Amino acid sequence: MPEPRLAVEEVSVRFGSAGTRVVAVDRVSLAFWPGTVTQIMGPSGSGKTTLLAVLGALLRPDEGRVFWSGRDITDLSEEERTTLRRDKIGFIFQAFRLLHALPAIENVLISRDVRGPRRRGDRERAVLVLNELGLGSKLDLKPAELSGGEKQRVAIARALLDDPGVLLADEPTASLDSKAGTQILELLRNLSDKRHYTTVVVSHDPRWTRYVDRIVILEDGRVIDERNGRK
Amino acid sequence: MRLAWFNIAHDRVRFAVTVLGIMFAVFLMVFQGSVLLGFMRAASKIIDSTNADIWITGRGVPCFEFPVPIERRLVEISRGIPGVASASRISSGQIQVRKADGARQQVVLVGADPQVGPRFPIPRLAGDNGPVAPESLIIDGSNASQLNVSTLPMEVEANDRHAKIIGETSGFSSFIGSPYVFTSYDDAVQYLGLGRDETMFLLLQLKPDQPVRTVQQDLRSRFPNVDVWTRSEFSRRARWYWIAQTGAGGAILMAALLGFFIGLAVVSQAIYATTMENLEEFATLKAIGGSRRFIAGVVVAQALICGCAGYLLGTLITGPMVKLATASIPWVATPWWLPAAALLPTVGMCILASLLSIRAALQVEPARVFRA
Repeated sequence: MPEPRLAVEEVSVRFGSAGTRVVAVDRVSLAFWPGTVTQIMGPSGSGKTTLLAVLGALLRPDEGRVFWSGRDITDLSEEERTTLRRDKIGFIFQAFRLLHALPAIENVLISRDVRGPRRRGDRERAVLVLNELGLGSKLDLKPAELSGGEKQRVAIARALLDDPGVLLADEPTASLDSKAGTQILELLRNLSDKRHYTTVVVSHDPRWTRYVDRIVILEDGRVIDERNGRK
Repeated sequence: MRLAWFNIAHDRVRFAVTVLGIMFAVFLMVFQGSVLLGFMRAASKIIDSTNADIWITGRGVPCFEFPVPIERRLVEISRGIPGVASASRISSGQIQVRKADGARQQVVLVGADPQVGPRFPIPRLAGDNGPVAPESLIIDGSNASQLNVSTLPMEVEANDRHAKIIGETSGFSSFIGSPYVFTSYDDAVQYLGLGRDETMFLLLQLKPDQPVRTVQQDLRSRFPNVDVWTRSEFSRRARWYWIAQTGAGGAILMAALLGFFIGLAVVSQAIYATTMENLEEFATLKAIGGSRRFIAGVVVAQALICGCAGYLLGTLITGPMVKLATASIPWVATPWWLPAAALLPTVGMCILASLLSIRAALQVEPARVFRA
């Protein structure tokens, strides 16, 4: 079996102080392989999003270890975690998180800007990605001028621009209508198949089960069930 | 830089208000700088316009405008001191000039020997080197209306004695309210009613290659009851007196500082408001890998863009405004480097204004991006 691209071992995250302490994630161990799509489900407060933040190096666990291609990244400095996110992870958010002042093309290129000065070909690549996502005619439109589905596709283009290898998506279809949601589902599935992305999706959307390889059910911060998806 | 520009351009009204605030701040800084500089120059203009290497003044005289009589015999003694090439005198004091309409005007009368230097205004009969014109006065062009001088020559009375204004000079506008009026030394003695044994200032020119400090020390030991200054020392002393001891410089500096702080407040407020409005976006930038440096760079760039636009507009309006101001403040001076020098405090102001916003932007938790 190949090495997982992303893995957590006995990871726990607690919030609050002694009297009001809440265990958001409780000794969770999971592994995620290239080319797979994993859906994390569970009721509100079950720790799904907290787990996603740990996987995305946005949150340091209180206990346990996090591994990236076999390398322990738990104790990386803030700067190293920032670099890891920048170079290796693409994020997709429920609320799209586009920069409101930037047109679509600039919203995509911002993921290149955080790396340093732009290079020749960056813009062309961003245009290519937006074209692939069917947004070729919307390059200069600002988020306020785009539909929900279009915004999410711009956000996906931003996540894909530098071929991150890992996509972490938090309720990516929750703010979309049925048709736009299905388009996003198919898109993420295709990306995992074609580019061998490791995709982890937090979602309540039952349609995902037909597109994912594995479903992980969390409750009270613990994994209570794991089952296969479409395969 | 691109993101900073888009952020600013997105809210054009705020951008315009910020730029206007900075423009006003820059204008205030440059204008008050011009007033301060012009005031300093005017405060020592008469001293700087002589060729003297050494000025001898009454004990404790702080500037040209407040002289104390010294013994006239020092002139003759000085001429015999080794290293001294020539000695000349200047006397000055307040007198009243009776204008053509009968009204009286308080003026500062300055009378000098011709040897004080070619840049010093002295009424002459013909040309720059002609004989000194008797009972004649020269005024600064900027004071012509104040003295009701419409045509030259013009008969007036100086302390009830006959005098004739025969010419105008420039660059000697008074900063103390009473205009400067120039005449020959001998006539000044008459108009001022100076005693025969007195003079006000003794100016010495040294022989070539004479060390000024050595002669100055020699003079100090010989004349213990007067002050002996090099020209630059007396010039600095006069400037220091008017700037620091009268409080005038402090007031002008305060106005310039006020400009700086107005700008600081305007930029701080605008950049902080923009940052707080975009806090979620800074969290997004951090989440997708924006380093602390990148985040800080965006905030500083926003402030600098506003600062540069405000600076350009501020310096553009300063020229015409200073020109306008010279009607009432003729000695105001804006050398080319003053607006250029204002760029530094403007940039400093913008960076300072960004600090609070940078702190807020850097403290935002990137994990909040998962909140819907």
